[in-house]
This record gives sequence, C-alpha cells and structure tokens, in this order.
Amino acid sequence: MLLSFALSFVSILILLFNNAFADEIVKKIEIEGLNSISNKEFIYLLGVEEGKVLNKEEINRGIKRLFLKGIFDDIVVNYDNGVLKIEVKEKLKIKRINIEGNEYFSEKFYINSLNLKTGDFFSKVKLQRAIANIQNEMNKRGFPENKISYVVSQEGQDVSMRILVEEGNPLRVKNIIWQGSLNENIKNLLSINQNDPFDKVMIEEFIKKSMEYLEKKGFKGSSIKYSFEKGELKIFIDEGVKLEIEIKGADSLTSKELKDLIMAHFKDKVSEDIIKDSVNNLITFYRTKGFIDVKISPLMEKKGNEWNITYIINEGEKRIVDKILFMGNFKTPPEELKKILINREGIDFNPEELENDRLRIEDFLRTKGYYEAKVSQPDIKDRENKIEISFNIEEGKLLKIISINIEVKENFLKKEAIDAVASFINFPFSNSVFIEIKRRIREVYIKKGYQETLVEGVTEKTNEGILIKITVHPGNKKYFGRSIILGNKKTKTNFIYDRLTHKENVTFNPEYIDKDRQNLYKTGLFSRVDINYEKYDDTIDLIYNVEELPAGIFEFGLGYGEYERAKGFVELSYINLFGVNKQLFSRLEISSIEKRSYITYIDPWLWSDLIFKSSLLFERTDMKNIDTKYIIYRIRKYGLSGGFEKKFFDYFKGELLYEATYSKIWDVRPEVILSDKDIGEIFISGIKASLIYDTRDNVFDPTRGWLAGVTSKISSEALGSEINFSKTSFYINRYTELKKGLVLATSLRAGFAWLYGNSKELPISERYFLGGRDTVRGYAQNTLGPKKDNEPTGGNAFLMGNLELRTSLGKNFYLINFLDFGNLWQKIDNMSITNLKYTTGLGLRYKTPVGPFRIDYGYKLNREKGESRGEIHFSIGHAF
Amino acid sequence: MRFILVLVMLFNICLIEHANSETINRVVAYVGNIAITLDDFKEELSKLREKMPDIKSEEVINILINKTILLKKARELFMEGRDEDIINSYIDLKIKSSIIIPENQVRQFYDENREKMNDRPYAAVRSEIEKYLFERELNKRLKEHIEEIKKDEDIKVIFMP
Repeated sequence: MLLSFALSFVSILILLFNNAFADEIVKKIEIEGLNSISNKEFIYLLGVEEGKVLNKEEINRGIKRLFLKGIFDDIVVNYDNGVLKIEVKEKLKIKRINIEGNEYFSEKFYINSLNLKTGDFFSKVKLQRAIANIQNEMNKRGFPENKISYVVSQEGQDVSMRILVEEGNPLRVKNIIWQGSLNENIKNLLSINQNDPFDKVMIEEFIKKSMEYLEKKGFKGSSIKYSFEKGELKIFIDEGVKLEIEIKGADSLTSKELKDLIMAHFKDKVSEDIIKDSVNNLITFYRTKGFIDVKISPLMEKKGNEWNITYIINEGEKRIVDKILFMGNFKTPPEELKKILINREGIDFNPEELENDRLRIEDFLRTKGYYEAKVSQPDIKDRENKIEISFNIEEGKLLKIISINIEVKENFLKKEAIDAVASFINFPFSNSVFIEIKRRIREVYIKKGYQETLVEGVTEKTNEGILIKITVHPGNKKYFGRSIILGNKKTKTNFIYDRLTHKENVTFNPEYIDKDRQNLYKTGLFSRVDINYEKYDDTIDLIYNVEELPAGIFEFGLGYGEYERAKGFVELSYINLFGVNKQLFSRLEISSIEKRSYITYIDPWLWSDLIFKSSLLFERTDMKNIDTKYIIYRIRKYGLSGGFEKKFFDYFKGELLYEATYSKIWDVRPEVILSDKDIGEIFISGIKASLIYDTRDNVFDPTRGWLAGVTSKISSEALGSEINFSKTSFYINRYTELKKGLVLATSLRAGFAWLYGNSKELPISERYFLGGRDTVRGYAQNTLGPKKDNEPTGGNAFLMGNLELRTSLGKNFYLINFLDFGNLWQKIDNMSITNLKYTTGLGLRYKTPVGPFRIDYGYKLNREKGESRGEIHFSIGHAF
Repeated sequence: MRFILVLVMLFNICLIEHANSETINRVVAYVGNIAITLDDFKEELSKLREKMPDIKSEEVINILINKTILLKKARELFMEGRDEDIINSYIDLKIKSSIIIPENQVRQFYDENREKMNDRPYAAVRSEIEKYLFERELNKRLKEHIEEIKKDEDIKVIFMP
C-alpha cells in the first residue's frame, strides 16, 4: 500500500513538474499523411521549428493557415517528449467520373452539368449540389421523373464516382397550338416538334430569338407566353405595336439622331405617357444645343397595331453664348474661370448646365483656398439670339493654413509627421488639401508598421487663416507574419516565395507588398495576384491568391515579302519550365530563300536579377540579287550562344554573350569574293556586348520615346576563331508625337568592322549589307554599296538614317512619308559623308496587334545610270 | 482497498503518459477552407459556460460554425474590423435592415397577451412589445439565413471534444 501511495505521489509530482516547465522545446517534427505540399512549406505555415519553443498560439494560427490551402481534411498536432507528431489527412481527389444509364442526354451533358472534373478535390456537399443541378436541368428539359444517384469508392487518396442515371419518361409535346398574332417566320424559330420532350430551355431560347426578330421588325411592347398541359403546348404571341416615327421640322439636328433618342423610350411598351416623356426629352436635348424656344408636338395615328407618330418640331432661333462676364469681388483671372465652364463663348448656349456652371465656379474657388466663395444665380441677357451670361462672385478671403498641430501619445513619430506636411504651411486651404494632410500623416505611421493608425482632424478659422489640429492614434505596431500562397497549380510555391521581398518579423510596410505584386506580375505567369491580410495582435499574415496564365504559346503565320516571296513561321514557347519560370522559345521560319530555326533557353532568375540566355541556331540562306535574281552565295550556318543579361533600370539593360558560328559557304559568285575565307567552311568565335536603352511606349507601334543601343563584338583566334575582327554598331531611334495621330520617327544607324592580326578581309557572312525595306528603301534588298560586276559585295562600314512622318488616316490606316539616306563602304577608310544615297517615298500601314502591315515605295533621289527609279516593299512592322 | 490503490496508481501512470503525449491542437470542424480548432472550441466553451453551464459540445461547435459562416459572408462584402463587429454589421445589413414590425402586429400581440401584461395600457408597453417582436423576428430570420447559406458551404465536423 505504501508503494502505491509513493507511486501516486511521484506521478503527481511529475505532472506538476511538467506543467511548471511549460516552455517546451520542439526537438523533432514528424509529419504523417502529407503528400500535396512539401514538409518545408507545411512546417513554415504551421509556425513551428525544430529547436524552438513550442508556441501553442502560433500552432492554432498555423492550422488555420494550412487549411486555407484547401487541401486538408484534418490536422492533429500531438506533442510527445519533445517530438511534435502531426497527423494530416488530405482531401480526396476525384480520379474518375463515370456516367451510367444515360440514353437521351449525352455523357458530355451530364459532365458539364456536374461542374466537377477529375483532379478536383472531392466534396460530398459539392457532389450533392451538382446532382441537384443535374436534376434541375433535366426537369427543365422535360424529364421530371429523373432519378440520379451516385456511388463513390475510395482508392487510397483518390475517389471514383459513378453517377447512376434513370432519365424516366419525358413529358412529350403531342400538339402545338399557336395563338395570337400568327407569323410564319416566328413559328420557324421553334425547334420543338410533335413528340419531342417538353424542353423549357429550347422554348426560352425560342422566345428570346422571337423577341429579337420582332424588335428588328420595329415592334415594341411584344410578348410571348406559353403553357403546357396534357401534352398540349400553347404558345401565345402578342406582337405589340409596330411603331413608325417621323420627324418634321428638324433642320439643325439629324432625324436619325432624334429617332434614336425617341426609340430609347419605347424599349418595352408604347403608351401616351411614354410619348409625352419622349417629347420632354427631345425638348431638353434641343435646349442643350442652344434652341431654348423649341416647341414639339406629337401627332399620333393608329391603324390596328400600327402606330405612326409624327414629331412636329418648331426649333425656334438658336442661341449662341456671346459673352461670359464675372462681376463682384474676386482675384482669380476670368480666363481661368471660363476654362472650367460648359457654357463657353462662341458655342451653343446650354441653359441646362447653368446651375452646374455656377457650382463649378464655387468648387473651383474653394479648391484654390477661397473656402467661403459664393456665386449667385447667373444673369442672362438675350440680345438678338446672342446670350450674355453674368456670374456675380463673392470670392471671400483666401484662407491659408497657418499651422498644423499634431497630437500623438508620447510625441511618437511626431517630428516625422510634421516634416511630412510642413510644405502645406501657407498653402491655400481646401477640403481636398485637408484630406491629403491626413493621408500623408497616416502614411508616416503606416510605413513604420502602424497599419491601423487612425488620424482625426479638426480645423479652426481665425483672422490669420486656418489652424489644423490632428490627433493620431497609431495602435499596435505590426510585423510581417507568414505568407500563404494559394491558387498556383503549375508554379512551384518556393519559386513564388523567392519573389517576395518582405521578411518575416520585419516591420510591416505596404510598400513591400506592392513590390511583391510587381515581382509576381513581372514573371509573366499570372493574370491576377490578390493579396489579402489576416491580422493578429502583433503580426499580419499575407495571403497571396494567384491566377495562372497559360504558360505555353503556339503561333504560326504566313506572309509575303518582296525579297523572300512566300514565307511562313511556326513558334512554340513555354515560360514555366519545372514550375520556376525558366523559359524555352523555339521558332522555325521558312521562305523561298531561307530556312531558319532557333531554340532559346532563358533563366530569368539565375541570380538576383541576372538573366541567363542561351541559343542554338540553324540557318540556310540563298543570298540573292533581287534585281538580277542571281544567287550571290549560299550559306549554311550553325550557331551557339550563351551569356547574361542584366536590367539596370526598367528601360536600360546590358547583355554579354559568347557566340560561336560554324558556316559553310558555297556557290559564291566570283565577283563578290574578296578573300579565300569567302568560300568554304569557317568557324567564328567571339564575345558580344550590348547596351540597350528603351523608353518606347509601345514596342510594335511606338509614338513616344527612345530606342538606342550599342553592340560590340570581338572575334579572336584566342577564342578559337579563324578570323580576328571586331565589329561595333549603334542605333538611335526617337519617336515624337507632334499631335494626336501624327508621329515623327527618326533613326540614325551605323556599323564598323576592324580586322587585326593576320586577318585581312572580313568573311562575307560577317560583312554588312544595306538597302531594302528596313534600311534605304529606294534600293532593293542588300543592293546598296560596293559592287563588282553589278553584284553587291557587302562592306565593313555603313552609315544610314531615316526620317518618317506617320499620319493617322483613321480606321487603323496610316500614311507614311519618309526620307532615307545611307551608304555602305568596303573599308572604314573609304567612308565619306558626302557619298550618301538619298531616297524618299510614301507608305501605307494597317495597324494590327502585332505591328502594322505595310507597303512602301522608295524613290531614288540620286539615281545612277542603269538603276531602277525605285522599289516597292511589303512587310510587317515598322522599318525602325 | 489494495485493489483501489492499485487502480489509483495505474490511473496516475496513465495520466503521466497522457501528459507526455498530449494533443496540442487539432481541427474539430471546418467551413470551406476555414478551420475551427480545438483551441477555438475551448475558448468558446469557457465563454459560453459562464452563461450556460450545461451547454453541450455539439451546441458549441454549431455556434462556432455559424459564426464562421457569418464572418466569411461578411468578409466577402469587404467588411473590416473585429470579428464580433463584422458579424454584427453583417446581421444589421442583411437581416435587421429588412425587419419592420407593423403597428397592427404589435396591437394584436397586446390584445392576445393583455392578461400576462397585467392589463397595463397599450401606450405603456408598446415599445417593449415591439422590441420583443423585433428580437423574435430577428432570431427567426437569422436562423433561416444561416440555414440557407449553409447549403452552399462545405461544412464538416471532424472531431467532437
């Protein structure tokens, strides 16, 4: 017995000891039954960590956070001697849906009506609701005896659903009886025949179409009703009233404009009261156009259900606002006041807006600090149809803010708040300024984590000005809590976490949340990013609910160019490889002279904002002289590149790439051979660096901004290249909207190549060519510059410029006037600014979402003997 | 006696075992993606027991489910503030605002229950009756409203403490 007492005593002591030392440490975390998310994410959301104190309050929040994921059915958290054992039960997933027993309706009908699909989480409530939906739909479609049941069988974490359908006998239409206005055209719209099921959906569809038909035929107040009893479908049609409107005496406004106004009144029915309303509306409309004496009388003629209404209009004389005068005591310049009014000098007098104009002046003066401004009813003088409007203004005293006094407990952040609104001292007072002052003060506290800050304010008017007294209640300081990611199906949750800029337990600041949102949109993976808060006493959890965009794009197109003739492309891209936004782009282009394909891999998040890029390229080109149709040379090229891109600002980026190309050139016309490297196989290996500055408002069709860049490439034997050379090219494009619909686009481009070491000539594949649709448009593609026996050889230097005036013609058409100039030289030493070729011309563009379709004609201004007068070019996109 | 003492000892040992392997928290029910935890249950129970000592676990869970549903609906209307305030605002907006007790209903109630009111004059009890009828109607409509919105929610009771 003693032993029993002793044991009891000891056990009670142990219990007390356990309770006394409640700060238990989590030594180990074990999770059972978790499949859909990683252990790491689970533990993070639950708010526990190995080696940390067990926080029961945090676990309570954590269970709620985890449940928001929508994948759990149960979570049990046990604690056993330092080990946190978590039992998880996930929701079951629908693996299969079978429809059985259906005869009249297809399986697709049932699947669509169910609104459930394989892969969804199984919910009995949702299934029961879906079954009720089907039954409701079948009742509407004439199968009231339907019986739908289901069998759900569980296989591990999946369920298979069998939907057992008994459609039953339908209600059948034995006879269709038409009543009321009989119209064969309407009868033909009904797709139900005798012995068909009584399908209310089809009947509603018939009524909708019939009403549209009657509306189109000018009937107003039409109605179609139906009844169904003992197999007899009765359809009653009331065509309503056929309305004809005639306008007489409208000299200044068009009949169409007036008829549209009138017809808007007779949407559902026609009655004498509605006619009166339409007359009043017309009178108001006329008055807004300056016809203040207008008189309108409706003449009505009824023949059966045909109503002819003639609106006889006596417009009277039109009034024009001749002068607007401002009387009284005010300092604001009258010209400023005139700008805010609807009634303006020289335009139609609108008496309907007079009161609003008076209020506009008052509001305007108040926003300028004349807080007590009063404007009396305007005085109107009519002198031979010329109206003079006089507003009498009592502007009052300009009220300036003389002090802003902030009261906050313990002067907390008071200095910062005062600094934030210091610029408002001596500023004219208005309600909007008062609101802005409160907003700025609140912002000071919010940025420091006081998210629930309340700012109250009162004003006091004194002889010197306005005193503002602000009281601030900052509330509790908040810190960032945990972030919950919802809605991502293909994108990895960790990838999204990595895009978030805020850190847990750091002072809550909404600016970080804006950055997070921008970062997520920048990935191009999401169409929507909603961020909601879950607030606790000291922390705020953020719930990121994202909606993903399709990550894959397949595009193809066909086109025609004057150089390539028929051409086409196929493009396939996917921007969410492995769910981490790695991107793959591939494109194949084929034309009569060229086959080109490439595949590019991009990792936009390699390290911080450094982008990794790499490409493989295959090209097979027959370089032709478009005039003589001769092949200048044929080339097959295999290329490889890899490197980095870094965005320094949104509009400025740099690239550093290694490029290697292996080319085989054959069928080279002897005239263009400058060195032995112009024929046969050649391997070129080099480093390319670029800087790009781009502030264009639209990449495809810019109207404002700059596009400028410089690219340098160095190719060296040290990198395995067969040729030692360096090339530098630059471009500066400027787009200026001179006025709406008129854009001036200018461009200057140049390129230079130097050879060094043993290399004496640049191979043909690296030489510049000029002339054609995107360069100097008076010349055919690649035909400008040095020639041997009339064949263009290409060169080591070029300089060119373009000037375009893009004028909108309306309906997406644009007229282009352009002046192009430029030339190509075999060596840099041969360059001469006096030796430029000039062409001018006209072009037509049709704007599309992917850039304009275009046709240009370029005319040579300094044509040489034997040259054509000009060239026509077809293409897509602007020349620059 | 010896047997009883052994039982006590065994009970204590079990108690120690239980103390070492305790369920810290768990889900007791959920409404859609919102979990109601054992801690929520305990907190609500202790509050309710002050007024209703005999309240049963099922009733507490039902109250928690109803609160969760109302809170969810209120948040869908972008209401903000403390949970209790949000629920009250939602009830004001959705239910209270549409309740009107007509004069004849007040009069009828008075006529039918005149004896219970000790024949006090109508004018003296009018506002009292109106308040009572209003509360009665509010409870009825609130119950109907909750039942209606429950139909669209995925509600499951996982564990009954």
